[in-house]
Amino acid sequence: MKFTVKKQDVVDALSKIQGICSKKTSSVITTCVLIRVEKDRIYITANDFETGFEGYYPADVESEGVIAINARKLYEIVKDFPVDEILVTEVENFWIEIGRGNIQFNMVGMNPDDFTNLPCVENASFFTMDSSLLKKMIERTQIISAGDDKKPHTQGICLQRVTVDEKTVVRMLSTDGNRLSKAECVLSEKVNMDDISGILILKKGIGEMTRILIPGKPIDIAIENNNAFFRQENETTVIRLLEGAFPEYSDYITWPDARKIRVNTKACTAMLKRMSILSSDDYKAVVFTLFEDKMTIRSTNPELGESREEVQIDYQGDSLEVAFNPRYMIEALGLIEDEYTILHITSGQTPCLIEGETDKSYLNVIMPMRI
Amino acid sequence: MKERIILHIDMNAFFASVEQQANPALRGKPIAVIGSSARTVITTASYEARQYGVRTGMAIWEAKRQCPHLILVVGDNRKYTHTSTRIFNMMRDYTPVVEIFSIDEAFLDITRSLKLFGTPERVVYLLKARIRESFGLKCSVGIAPNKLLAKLASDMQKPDGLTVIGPDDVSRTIDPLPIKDLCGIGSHMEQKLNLLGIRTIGELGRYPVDILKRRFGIVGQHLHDMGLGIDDSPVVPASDQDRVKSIGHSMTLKQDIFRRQDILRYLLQLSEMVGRRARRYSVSGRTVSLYIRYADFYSSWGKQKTLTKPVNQSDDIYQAAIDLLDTVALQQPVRLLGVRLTNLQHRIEQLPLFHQERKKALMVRAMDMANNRYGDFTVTFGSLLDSGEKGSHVISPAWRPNGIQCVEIQ
Repeated sequence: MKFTVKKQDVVDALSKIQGICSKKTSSVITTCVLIRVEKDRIYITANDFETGFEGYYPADVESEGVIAINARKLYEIVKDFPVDEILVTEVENFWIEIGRGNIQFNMVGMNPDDFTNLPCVENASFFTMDSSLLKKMIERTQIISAGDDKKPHTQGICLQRVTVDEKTVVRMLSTDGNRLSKAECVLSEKVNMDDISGILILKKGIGEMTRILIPGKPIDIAIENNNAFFRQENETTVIRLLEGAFPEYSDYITWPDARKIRVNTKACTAMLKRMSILSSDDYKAVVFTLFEDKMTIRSTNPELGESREEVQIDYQGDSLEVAFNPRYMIEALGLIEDEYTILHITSGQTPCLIEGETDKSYLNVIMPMRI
Repeated sequence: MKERIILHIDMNAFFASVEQQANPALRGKPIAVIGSSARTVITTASYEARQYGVRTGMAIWEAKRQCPHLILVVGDNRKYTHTSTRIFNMMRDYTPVVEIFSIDEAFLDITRSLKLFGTPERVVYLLKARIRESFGLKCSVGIAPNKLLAKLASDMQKPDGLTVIGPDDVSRTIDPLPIKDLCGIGSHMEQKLNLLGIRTIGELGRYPVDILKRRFGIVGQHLHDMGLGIDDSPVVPASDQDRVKSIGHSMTLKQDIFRRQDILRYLLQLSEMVGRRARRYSVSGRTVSLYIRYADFYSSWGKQKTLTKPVNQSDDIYQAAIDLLDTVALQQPVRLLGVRLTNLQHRIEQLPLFHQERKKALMVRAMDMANNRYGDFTVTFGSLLDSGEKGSHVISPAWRPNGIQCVEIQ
């Protein structure tokens, strides 16, 4: 095997897979990258059994072949290589030679037969969406990090594709058992395929995928054989699906009796940040009290002291007290782009819904704390 | 600083004396209190038995050889915790500053009580008389300017003693005593100090402090102070004590076990004991530890696991304990198992979002309420139904008459 490849192509690809190859696993082969040389391209593959990546890049091929080599070391070598084109030659017994002449590395690889191939993507039915829309949905759901390892629905992000009013809606949901985040977007073109009713994709894998994502380019998505495929031109990320189902969530997001409180998004965030100054592990809660036309927010920590603020709101009704973990609130508000946010509060025992005043593509549901 | 007056009160042969008071037929006879399990040792021996050389920790056959007519009494822990709690309450009539050191020992700071009661000796006289009249029990008391000396003093005369170490006769009294008499110097430390040629407390006090510091670090200064009879530590009443840092239970099994199924049953039982105590005091913890002692008594294994959020439901603790168990290949049958919850949070407030988890929390609460009323393990997991005795049978040194460290002893 012998080929010459553009340095930048390899550096980009190798930097994308560092996350996959650096995972602590019992198997050494997952720390390796597989390089396959065929016709006029090289294929770069990484696989940690949960998340995988494959990309192909043009190369000047002298002879075909396949090698497996430590991804971290290869990246470090190639990254600072002082020439734009890199020559790679397989010598024998998995030894490879990088560069020639003044600068030369000889590295021992592993048997490429030990490498587990990625699931096959052929015949999968892809649908296409704008990658920036996908990225935004991921940001809005990824905010809730993985929870209890016994429960798959807290480990994964749920992906759905449904048809609503003749339009295709893609939806992502995530939860840690105390709160839930829902983000959706409408595709510009209708997808004529069966709906995806809800699959769970590992949060860690989604995190790797966002690192690989090239902004601005459309992305093709397919769900096939217990894997989710995300493809952008020459690069594909594969994430194994989790077994299990996302809980039926519609009950938690419909509260017809909720009081709607309109607050300024930035001002409310700033206020909650001031409130959390006095919070500690044992005393986290921030208490919201609704009165006619005003709302007070206070936090009390017997070890430190207390803080209190008052804001004018448009509210008519009984007074009501609800406590929240301020961090959950701050994180939810941080993802709202509207100037004003609507808080839907029903009682101290029922979830609070948080959404933008006009943008209904994102909803956060937070369960209160006991007072 | 004003001279303090500290008492250390040590109940004499506590468990044995309680038994002798409960059953007049045992009075004046050599008796020994033992545990209920088949592999028990001597817990406490009465003074009559001690004359024959029967000691705490002896195997039963060994004690019988020393004293063939020794009467063995299976301990009734409830009797002891009950009596102990009442004695501690009596002590609080003389000062609020009572630090409970173990089930039969306490420190009292009576510096500010003398206006009411006169001299320290009178306080001791009144207290001893009350304990004797109410329970028929004797205790040894030390009076000294600090806790270290008070504890030394109470050890000097047993049973029913009263020893005073005044500020002026500290060195005369303690200098000739061996260093192992100091509370805090165990056999390990004793050996290390012996290597430096230090055998008595006086020698420790005179030893150059620099060398002690170089050899033992921060502890060096502390050792030096101990040698001089200096101890500034305050008597800390329970209400001022630091928050509890862990909740744990362990259990020596009736027989050594090896089968996973049997181990799991004990783990569930221990998890339930830990979980229930945590829930009773609204505490939850993020770290679960598992401890195993093997059949040979000396080798053991322990590991811990930190979860993503604090838990206190028995099931969650149990699941974490299983995960830990699955990481070890058992080398021998298991003699003792322990489960512990640490990294505690003292308020749990976040409500779960999903019905399923809320239902589970409600179910756990209902079980707890039933068990509060009808006794531990009345409503329990199906797999525990035919596993015989459940609950704590041993009084841990961390036992306290109230609060989270108060464990219901069977």
